[in-house]
Amino acid sequence: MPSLPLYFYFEAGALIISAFLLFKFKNKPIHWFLPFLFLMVCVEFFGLFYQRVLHKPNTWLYNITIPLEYVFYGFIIGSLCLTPAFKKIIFWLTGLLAAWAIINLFFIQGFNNLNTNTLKAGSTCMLIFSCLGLLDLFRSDEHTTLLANPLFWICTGLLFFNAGEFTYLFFFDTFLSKGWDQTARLFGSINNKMIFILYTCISIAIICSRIQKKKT
Amino acid sequence: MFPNTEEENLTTMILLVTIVLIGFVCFVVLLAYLFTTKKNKLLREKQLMQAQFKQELLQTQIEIQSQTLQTVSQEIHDNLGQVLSLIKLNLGAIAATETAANQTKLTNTKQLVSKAIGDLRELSQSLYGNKIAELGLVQAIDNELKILQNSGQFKTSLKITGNAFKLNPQKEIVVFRMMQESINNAIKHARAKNIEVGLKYEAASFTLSITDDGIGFDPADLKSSTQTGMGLKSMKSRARLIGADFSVNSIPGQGATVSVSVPDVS
Repeated sequence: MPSLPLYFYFEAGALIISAFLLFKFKNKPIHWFLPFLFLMVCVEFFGLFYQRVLHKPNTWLYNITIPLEYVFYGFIIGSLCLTPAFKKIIFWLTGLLAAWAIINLFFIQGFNNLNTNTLKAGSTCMLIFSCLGLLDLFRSDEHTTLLANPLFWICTGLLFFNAGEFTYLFFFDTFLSKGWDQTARLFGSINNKMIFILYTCISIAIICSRIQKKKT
Repeated sequence: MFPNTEEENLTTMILLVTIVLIGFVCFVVLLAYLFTTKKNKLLREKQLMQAQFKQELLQTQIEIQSQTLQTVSQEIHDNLGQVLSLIKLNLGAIAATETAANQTKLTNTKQLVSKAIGDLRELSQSLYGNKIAELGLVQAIDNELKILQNSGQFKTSLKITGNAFKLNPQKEIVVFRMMQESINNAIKHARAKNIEVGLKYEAASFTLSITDDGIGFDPADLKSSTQTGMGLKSMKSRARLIGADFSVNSIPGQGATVSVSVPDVS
């Protein structure tokens, strides 16, 4: 098996942190990160295994799991938000996104083509959700320690990750159709670095949620 | 670097937009941090102002109460006291002209009036805040316990630990009123017969404790009760006003102890 990419270790690191901190810890909805991260690490591992060892396409795997990721983040941010209007917007958009992902997967782009339509919609939704999450923190009437708030770290991670790939995703089809590999590699490298930021922020969010729970 | 210009141009454009977007995210995060820090500062200031307002409100309440008690005390002393003294004088004048049988009755009545004058004087002193400051806390409490003891229904004791010193006059009045409220509770609600008051003077703190042998209660019931007695609420407020720690310990059937600890008496 060839060596694993660096971002995989960041994902695995977040999983280990969540396993240590969230295993016996029922703090809804943060404790859902444990099965989610486990799934993500498995997906990355099998995705790499398919591509590098079996030399088979792994697009179908990501077409299924990436929408799940979007739905999961929508659920987490929606649950952590305190403003009812924001909750409603986030849950509705998440539902619509899930419906769109299913329609796109089964009827439009299919399993074997990368579902770029879903990625574009998902990335846009993630940017909206993160902004709403941060706005929710501003609106709170209570004393908020931003750097110890899980919602802040989750939103920050998602904002950086999606801002990094947002523009690129909108031209992804052009790059694919014209076979511009160099650009794809350049943005693949940017995307990997954004994964470091995303999973570091998620690890911090998990640690913060544990500290909050201990305090209460 | 790129095989064709079209790819290079598009890539450069996307890169630039991505950099701008990431820069914008950095700006948003920084803004969020600064905004929350400012909001927290404002919230702290608001809480501080609310606390100060509550403190002032409490102080005003206590001042009004103190003023009212002073007026009542003065009324007792100046009016009721004077009227009773006049009655006593008149009785003395009548006694000289009466028969022996009536004289005994008049003597008894004079004694009763004397007792009423004495009791009223004590009550007047107990209500009069400035008198407490004049007498000092120890003497005022001792007088209060004597009044109770003289009623013949209760046994009281005062235990002083350490070298007694004067507290700030306002604190002394508040502590004295809390002691009165505690004793009142012990008599009215706990049906206590023995009351022990302790005054503990330490280098930097003072503690008042009132222990009774009444029916007691479960402190958990008191915490869960939404209708905690007015007396207890008022004692808590008074304690807060002078920055004292207030606690009530009790076991059902085994009496209760009320403690008021005033830190930083200097």
